[in-house]
Parts: sequence; C-alpha cells; structure tokens
Amino acid sequence: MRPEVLNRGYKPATKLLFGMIRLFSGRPLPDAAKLVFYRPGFYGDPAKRFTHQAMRGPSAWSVGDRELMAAVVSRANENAFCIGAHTATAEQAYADRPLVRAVLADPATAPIEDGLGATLRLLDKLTRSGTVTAAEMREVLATGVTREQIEDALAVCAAFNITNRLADAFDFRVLDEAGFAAGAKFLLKRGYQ
Amino acid sequence: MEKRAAYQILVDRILRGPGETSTEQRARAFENDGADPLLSKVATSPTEVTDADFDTARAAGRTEDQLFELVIAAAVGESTRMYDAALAALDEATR
Repeated sequence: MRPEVLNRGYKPATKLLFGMIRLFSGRPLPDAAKLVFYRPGFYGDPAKRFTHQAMRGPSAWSVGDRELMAAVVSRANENAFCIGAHTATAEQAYADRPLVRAVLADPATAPIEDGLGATLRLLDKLTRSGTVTAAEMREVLATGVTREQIEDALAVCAAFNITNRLADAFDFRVLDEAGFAAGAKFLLKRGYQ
Repeated sequence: MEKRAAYQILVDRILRGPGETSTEQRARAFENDGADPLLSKVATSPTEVTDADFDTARAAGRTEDQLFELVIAAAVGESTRMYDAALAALDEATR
C-alpha cells in the first residue's frame, strides 16, 4: 500500500494479529482489511460500522443482492480489487457463479428480477455520472422496489464509492482467485465489523 | 435511517474529529476545492492516482499521516455528494 505508513505503521498488538492471521490462514490479510486497523478511531471504526450496516444490516435485499450491488458499483469505478472481492462474495452468497457473471456481463439480459436489475442500473448511473434524476428514481419505483429498498441500495453505493477510491489511492494489492475466494468466505461468515 | 445515521457519524468523525490535519484542511479535501492534484484525483479519477502524486504531496510538506487523513476526506466527500444527490432525487420522486 501507499503511503508507506499503511504497511508498517501499526501498533505491536496489531502486527501480532496480522502475523497470527497469516499463520493460520496461510495468506496475508487483504489490504482492505488491514487499512481499517490503521488509526481506527479516525476512519476504520466508523467506516466498519457503516459498511456492516449497509451490507449486513436489516434490509429487504439479500446479502447476495447487496454484494452484487457492491460489484456493480466497483465495476463502474473500474476498481480491480473490489470487483474481484465482491464478485467472489456475491457468487458464494448466491451459490451461483453463472448468474453473477451474467449480470456483470449484461444486466439487461441476465435472469434477475426487474426490480434488482433496475436498481443495479440506477447505482451504475449514479456512480458513473455522480447524480441521478427523480425520473430515474421513478423508473425503479415502478418495478415495485420500495423507497426503503432504494435507500438501502444507496447506502451500499456510498460505502463502495468510498472504498473503491481508497483502494485505488492507497494501491490495494489485487489478489488471485483463491485469495478473493478466501476473503469472500470470511465476509459471508463475519461481515464487515 | 440507521444506515444514514451511521454514515453521518463517519462524516462527522472525518471532518471534526482529532487528526494531524486541521478541520479546515479536511473540509477543503472533502469539498474537492481543486487545490491539490492528488486529492482531486482521489475524488474524480482515482484510478489515475500514482506514486508520483504521493511524492509530490510529500515534497510539498505533507506527512504520511496527513495524506492518510486528506485522501480519506476526499473519498468520503465525493461519495457524500453522490449519496446526497440521490437521496434528494428519491425525495422528489416520492413527494
């Protein structure tokens, strides 16, 4: 990661924890997980609480739906680390890799419900252009998606518009497929807190 | 609302909590005032951030901890503008 303090600036107890995780899992902690341990009072603690609420808190959207939203936002931002992480997590959450690949290839033809498809298009538009219109919101509502569901999807979008930027700026190391799969398993078991 | 409250706690912490930068510096990064090329890239073209951008910022006198704070402020600021714009559109659509 950059700047260098994000590689070496952790407290001794945190470094010990990183070492234990490496020993037991056989792989280093991903940079996204490391970052929240650096001066956690400034960013890590409040960021984890918000992201966990958005991704695992009460919602009419399933965990798989929200992980898919995270992947779609990350794709709109062209962030390789988060595309890999959340594509893998969505695939495991749905237990359906072809479905997730189909949505990311072409949401218009993928076999998903209209409401989820419309919501994914909304998040894609918002992330790429920075804004959406009331008319675009009405298009999503017309598919039967509730106002609360849109708010929940916007929280996912906000979480990943932050994380994607930090992943690029701090230069998170992109993992191999096995690394993303292991991270996905952890995120489904423990969430983001 | 719980999610929005948790988001606001994050924003308040970044903008007003203790840090190595002044609250004014963090506010300028959050607003993307355009004064710092690294922070503007974080907000609007993060895939283009390079090591050289960090080198330039350090050469201008910023410490690594200050850069940590300001990069986060820039990222949270851009995300907040999108979140607010979308919630305003949702309010208009459901009024």
